[in-house]
Amino acid sequence: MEKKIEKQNQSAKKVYRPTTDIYTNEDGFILYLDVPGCDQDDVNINVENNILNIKAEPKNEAESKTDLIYQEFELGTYERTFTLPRKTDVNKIEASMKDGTLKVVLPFSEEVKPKKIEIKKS
Amino acid sequence: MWFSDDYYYPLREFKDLQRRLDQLFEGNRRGTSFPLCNISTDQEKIYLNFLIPGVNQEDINLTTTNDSLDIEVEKKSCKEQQDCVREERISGKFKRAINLPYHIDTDKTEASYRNGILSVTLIRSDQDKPKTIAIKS
Repeated sequence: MEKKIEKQNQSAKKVYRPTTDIYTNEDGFILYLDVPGCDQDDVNINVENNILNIKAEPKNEAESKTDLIYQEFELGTYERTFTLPRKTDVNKIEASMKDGTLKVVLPFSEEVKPKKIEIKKS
Repeated sequence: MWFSDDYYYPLREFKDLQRRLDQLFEGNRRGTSFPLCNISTDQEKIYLNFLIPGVNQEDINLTTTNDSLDIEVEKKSCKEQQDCVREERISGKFKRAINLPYHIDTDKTEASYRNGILSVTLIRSDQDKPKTIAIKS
């Protein structure tokens, strides 16, 4: 019994680094983070001093009634930090969740986007 | 594939140790099979949980026989449309077969996909349930 409690406490502390894909286009960066088991409400995204912190904590669903006979994964807290490039527009960061994958869009600020310069006729 | 909990199985301890060491050194890679699977049981049912984040429900195929379950998953990558800076998430087609601890009733299988976790509930077939034998005096 004591061992069981100890084991539960251990798994509660476990923190995973979510696997991430990063894509880019001329508008900014797009991150895809795998956070299986997490709902939209379980995810916390913070930006402070150009550092993006993403933390997700899946709700523990009661599995205790059944006997676990084979285990390959455990659900734990996911946490990862990214340093943002200086040209990111921090106020326009958007995030969405779908099927356990978190998508974060980091747009570039308007000032650094390429601008077309028209040549006036003289 | 799985180990019965009913008896002591020394290899299980080693498997567990190996898994923990893998976790320690490989961080989030957590083994090589995809999708990862947890199996739990009670008297009536078998519960399988698969970790499949970021897959469309239509891209998951499940087939069962009376004592095994096959899962086919296609995880698509967005690499074609955008420039990729970093790719850690695996993509492609995956297939896995799971041997079940009991015979099941294939008509009563239920599955749901939520938040990247596929939960499958299988009902143990009536013929496979333990029977009490009365001893005649």
